[in-house]
Amino acid sequence: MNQKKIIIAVISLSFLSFAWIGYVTFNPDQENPGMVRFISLNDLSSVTESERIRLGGRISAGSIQISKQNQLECDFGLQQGELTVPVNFLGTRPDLFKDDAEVIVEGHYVNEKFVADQLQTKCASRYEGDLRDDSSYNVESI
Amino acid sequence: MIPVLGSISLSLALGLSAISIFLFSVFLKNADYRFFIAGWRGAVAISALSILATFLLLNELLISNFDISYVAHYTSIETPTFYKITALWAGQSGSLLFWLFILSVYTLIVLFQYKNSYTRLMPWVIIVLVIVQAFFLVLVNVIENPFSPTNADFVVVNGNGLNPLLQNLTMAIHPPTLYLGYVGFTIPFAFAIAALITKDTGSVWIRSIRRWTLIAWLFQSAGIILGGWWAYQELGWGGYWAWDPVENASFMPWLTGTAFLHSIIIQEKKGMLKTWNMILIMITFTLCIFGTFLTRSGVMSSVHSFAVSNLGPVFLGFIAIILLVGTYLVIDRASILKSEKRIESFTSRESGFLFNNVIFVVICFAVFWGTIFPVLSEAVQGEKITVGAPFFNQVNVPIGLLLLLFTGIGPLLAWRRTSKEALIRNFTIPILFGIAVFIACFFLGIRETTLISFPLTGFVAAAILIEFHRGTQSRSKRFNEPFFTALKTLISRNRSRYGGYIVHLGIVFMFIGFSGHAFDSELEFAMKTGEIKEFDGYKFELVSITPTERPNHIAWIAGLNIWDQENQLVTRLFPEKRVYFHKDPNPDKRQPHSELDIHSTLVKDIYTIFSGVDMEQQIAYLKIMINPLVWWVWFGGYVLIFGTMIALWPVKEH
Amino acid sequence: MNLIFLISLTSLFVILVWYIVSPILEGTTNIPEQINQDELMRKKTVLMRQIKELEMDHHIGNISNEDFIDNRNGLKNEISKLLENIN
Repeated sequence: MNQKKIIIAVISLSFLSFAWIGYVTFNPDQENPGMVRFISLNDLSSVTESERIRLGGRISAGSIQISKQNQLECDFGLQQGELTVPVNFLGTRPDLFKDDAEVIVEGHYVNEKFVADQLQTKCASRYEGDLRDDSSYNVESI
Repeated sequence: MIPVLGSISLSLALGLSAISIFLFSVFLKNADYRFFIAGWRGAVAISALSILATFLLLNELLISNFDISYVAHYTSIETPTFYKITALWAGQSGSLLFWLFILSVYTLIVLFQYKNSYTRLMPWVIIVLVIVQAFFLVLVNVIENPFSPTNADFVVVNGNGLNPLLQNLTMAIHPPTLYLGYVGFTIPFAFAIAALITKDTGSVWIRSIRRWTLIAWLFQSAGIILGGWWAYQELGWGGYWAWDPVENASFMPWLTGTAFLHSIIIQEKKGMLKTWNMILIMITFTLCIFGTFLTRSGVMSSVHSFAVSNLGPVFLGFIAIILLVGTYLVIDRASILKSEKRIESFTSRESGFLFNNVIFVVICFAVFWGTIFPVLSEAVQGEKITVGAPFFNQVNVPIGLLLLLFTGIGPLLAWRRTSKEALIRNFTIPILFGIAVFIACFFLGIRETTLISFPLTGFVAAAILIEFHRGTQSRSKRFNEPFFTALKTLISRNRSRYGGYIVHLGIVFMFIGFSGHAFDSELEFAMKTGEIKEFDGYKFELVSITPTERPNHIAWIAGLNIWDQENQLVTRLFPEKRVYFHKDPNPDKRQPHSELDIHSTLVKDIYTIFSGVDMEQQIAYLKIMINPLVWWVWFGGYVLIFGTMIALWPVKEH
Repeated sequence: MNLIFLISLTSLFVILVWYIVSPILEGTTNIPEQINQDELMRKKTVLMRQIKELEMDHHIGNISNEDFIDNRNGLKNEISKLLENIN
């Protein structure tokens, strides 16, 4: 008899847990959401100011401008194919932050400008270099 | 010549795996023992050839034969010898060969250790092991051959070199440790499948399997902890766990493996939960393969993964086969997996184990869900949704606390049912202690989750200490031993039980460390030399910025004096900004790196990162983090490993 | 050089084949008696350990008296059955 009760308890515990996982999935914490949409620049216009989103792309060459007042603040253009969006970022810039670097930024799209509070660079490609790429070796052709 | 020999060894081993399986099937059909010995020898040869191939690749790495693509990719002439060895698992094909190498070493141990035992089980155990070996042999033969030549029409004079981030002792130990864990779960899996096929669910092999699982679990735990330690020391974002897909991949089999370690005790002692155990070990092994796949295939963008490759379909196919065969066997053998006894009471050890198992599996599912959600959302909605740490923390904190609670309750319960008197006797002190911690925390102004987690750690710690006390008391009464002698003999005579409790204690310490995360604070700022910045009760003075040139990089060293409110010097820290390959003519090949410096105490870590430098104006860009209680995570890790070693230490036969 | 390589490769191959095939040519067909005996001994050791753990549980109070006696008798019976088969 008790075994039945215990099995019911186990099943309800797992059911509750799955409900909890589902709840967190579809009702994320607004201030610090764990689920963030990864958006292409094409779809940027449809995003509301309050939604936290991610963008990926390349830093357009020569666009990095570091603020005179605060050395930690910078502006740059994020490029995805033909499209470019201005990005403002406040924080420590990663080691690999430079022209043409591939970055992922997270933040809000406000007044046609992306205000990011998180910025990641993609890992160095040095160690996955193309074998045909001479510059990835110290090469002497014979 | 040697690369050719390496390739040939791998092909031979692949061919032998088919032959070995054939020999075993002859033995199973005719019960002719000669074929068992032949098949057994075939399995020995497969393992020996795989090990030989690994040493041949190692040799090429050491002599820097850049005609081999792998050697050219991951080492250079300047790479120190030690890191030429570690380059063996730095890349995709090398790490697949390394997987096979570890499996072969484990297989050889199994082959020789159990050659004369488990006569019914062994043929199938070996067949399963050989099939897994064959899978990795297919990968290194057909898809990712580590011996394939450099594809260039010029002479390669020097290789790429190993990423400086990986040139670090911890990073050299972390991957092989984790691999020893991943691969180790193959052996209990092979035994489980063999037991299902031969319909032998006896308790004898379960004991051997518990040891093997514990060995795999030890390495898996140590690997995960080392990975966190490395991230904390090297990556400079102030944390040790980011819920990165690859971290999750190593955590998932750990969770189900831990569940298995617990529930197998019930099968051994009570003959219950047999089906459940079979499912758990299959899931654990599948997750190990899945983890290897995630790490090595690049389907998830992650700091760990390599370039995208065509390993995907092969891995997913193998996983599908494991799951199909496993499901078929469990369903078909359902009748022999029936429990011998029933669970009779909520307040029994059995039900404690059952609930703890459910929680482990639920956490595993939550992690799995979050890990594959980006892929799912892209497939279903056509929109990529990234899942970050906040999701995993929000989901897992309450479930994790529930698990902690059960860690305390379980050991206090008796088998079958716990009498009211025993309940009161065992639980009074831990509960009172938990309440005392709660009150203390409340008056210290601690709120929210930590107001629950600290009292819980108090409750569990008290419960574990009481377990030790009870055991020691009973011994010293029975044998009239003094307290400490009794404690010592108690542990050495019941290693797996009390080793396990020490592991629980380690987990409690780690939870104390995790709770500290709630009080983290950080500040980013720029400062000139001579300036002082106040933050979180400390004053940070930038004394100097010193440029230094070292063999493979240049470094700017920030000299920081840290003072407390009474103007007493707390510590001096020297975080560095480095640029590796600074002499490379191509600026894109130079690699900047921030080497951080940490002042660690029992109460908090002062964590400093030197993220940028402007030498003209003598400005340093710094990030400072105050991370309370992180020390306890590493201490708990040591305790956990120590406890596991005690549980594993062989018992002398009397 | 090439010849030496070829010879060593062939000999490796021959050794491998001989190593695997030879037991089929000369070994015994039946499972040696000793193996069964070892397996029984192993089983006995495991059962003895289970009794020890049971006693431990009983002394701490993790198992009731009647369960303890039942389980111990069960294990003892198993051992005596085993002993009949061990030479």
